[in-house]
Amino acid sequence: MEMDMTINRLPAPTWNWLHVNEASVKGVPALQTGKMEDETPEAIEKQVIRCTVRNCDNKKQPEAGTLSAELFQIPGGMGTDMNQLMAENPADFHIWTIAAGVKESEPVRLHFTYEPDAPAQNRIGICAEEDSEITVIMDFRGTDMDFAHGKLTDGETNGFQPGDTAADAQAVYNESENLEQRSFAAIQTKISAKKGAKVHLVQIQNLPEGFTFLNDVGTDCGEDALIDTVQVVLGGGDTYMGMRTDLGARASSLESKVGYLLDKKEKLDLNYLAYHTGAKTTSRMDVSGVLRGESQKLFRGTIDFRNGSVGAKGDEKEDVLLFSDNVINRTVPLILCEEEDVEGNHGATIGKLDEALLFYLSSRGIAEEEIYEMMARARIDAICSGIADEKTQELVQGYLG
Amino acid sequence: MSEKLLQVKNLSVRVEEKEILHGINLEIGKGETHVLMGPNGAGKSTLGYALMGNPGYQVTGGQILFDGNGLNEVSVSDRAKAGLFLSFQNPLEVPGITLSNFIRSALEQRTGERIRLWDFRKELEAKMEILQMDKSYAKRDLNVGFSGGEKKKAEILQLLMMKPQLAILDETDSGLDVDAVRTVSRGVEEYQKDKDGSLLIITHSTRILESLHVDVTHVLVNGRIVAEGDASLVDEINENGFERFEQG
Repeated sequence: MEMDMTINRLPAPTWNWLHVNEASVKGVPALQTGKMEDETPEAIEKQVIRCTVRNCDNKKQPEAGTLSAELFQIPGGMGTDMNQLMAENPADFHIWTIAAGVKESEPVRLHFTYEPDAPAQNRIGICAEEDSEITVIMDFRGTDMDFAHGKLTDGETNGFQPGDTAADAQAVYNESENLEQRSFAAIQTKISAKKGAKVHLVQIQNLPEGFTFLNDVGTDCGEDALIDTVQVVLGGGDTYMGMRTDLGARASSLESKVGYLLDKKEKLDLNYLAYHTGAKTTSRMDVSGVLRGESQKLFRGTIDFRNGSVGAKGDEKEDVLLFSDNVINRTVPLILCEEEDVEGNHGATIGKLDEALLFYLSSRGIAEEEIYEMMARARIDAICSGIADEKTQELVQGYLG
Repeated sequence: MSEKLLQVKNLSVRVEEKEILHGINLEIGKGETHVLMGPNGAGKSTLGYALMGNPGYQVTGGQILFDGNGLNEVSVSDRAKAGLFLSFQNPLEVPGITLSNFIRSALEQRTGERIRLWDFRKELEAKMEILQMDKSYAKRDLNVGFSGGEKKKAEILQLLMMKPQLAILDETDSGLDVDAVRTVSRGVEEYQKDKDGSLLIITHSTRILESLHVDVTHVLVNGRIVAEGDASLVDEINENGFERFEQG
């Protein structure tokens, strides 16, 4: 049965006519468990909870007191419709747990391969016990992967001209709302980092053209724990990403980086939420990317300082390079505050390539289109510089061509 | 007289609505070192930018010939490929591209061939040693967080690696301490020695010239070359300033 979803809701809605309050995805097909291969280091425990229609029924929650129940209850960034989607469709729940005090330098590698005509979903859980450290690297690709990402074409080097109204933007945005094709995949990842634990999550997405992809992350961060995420979007069709982090314990922190290269009619819809309720908690969101062709991006970044978050700090930074007049870029930075002694910052750099920079690089003999290509790659390289894993760095370079 | 490399004939240049250079004539032979001096606002940097083809500097008259070929309609990158190099007064910061990768990409673009990483690294490190640059700078993003001196050294490093036929050094010595000027001068000497390259040194001080042999000195005032001479003109300006040229 098909499902209509409303996801990526802004926690404090703004004017409806801006059309940024939420995203709607219509006609989501029935999903099967997506193909996943894993490489798991010995020190990390892997658990698979097999789901059948019967035991994954949305009326039946995971048994109370179990790890799966704990992870299940962590809210994701996309909202309740995503949970509903996960519950409506039977998918195995894969959980990786690292024991207290264990710091594993070798990452868990998860390779997801999605087929164009086989709508699929995956459910992942990561549990880092006290003072442990774990790295999980996921890459999402299609079965018929074309590794070469589209290059710039002539005449695509001018920046976005302001003048598109919100209604114009939404009209274009709505065109691709109905899923005309069945290339669909969804993943939900729930992370629990206990006291003093560190969880590093890396996601590299290079799905084929035309794929609709829903990527939801929910995290719960314990005292002095750190969750850091690097997500890179290099291909696909319509991509929806949500991430919610609950910083409820003292000195817990989030470092989130997102990098993207969008081209043609690709669309990226992001909803990132950091809820600070613990004292001296910190969050940082760093979103950087390039829009080419007729691509569109909407970033909602919310930092919510709630009662109890004394001394908390939150930063969100965005850097968007516009390589075409026909792209649509929208940004909704939101800082909510119930506590006095907190510090929240947001900054955005949006525009075309600076002419002085273009001249400087050209003066070394580099052709203009090559400079645009270099600068686009530089955005991704800067985001990926935080990935310690060499294989993943090579994977990204391979995708970039 | 050596073979002519650069010929500037009656060049006039406008920036936005204002004409800055009025009928500049200049010839630089192969292997020669020329100095362009003048007070602040005379148009020295404008000439450098115009020669390199900055689109913000509109040539309203005259001709630029490089190795006998007209440059007026040639793009910035093609001028660089032809052998022209401009060392910037204020080099820009380029996040995400390391100094090493940038130089390698530029060299590969110029030659159209892949450069062996081993050979490249070896040469880069040798040149960095001449400039007393810490090797870690090669892996850092281009000019990001570099001090003023390191930025200028990075410019000279690019000069040494790219080996152009003509290098225009725009105020390369400004903002540098005595030791840094000496190091940069050593790099410029190395370029001359290595390539027998030509130089147009734009400056309003004379510190960078102390260890270089100067063939011709040009004095630019209010967008016009008002005097030319040999190296002794540098000494005279050093002693008396630009007053007599400005009055004339």
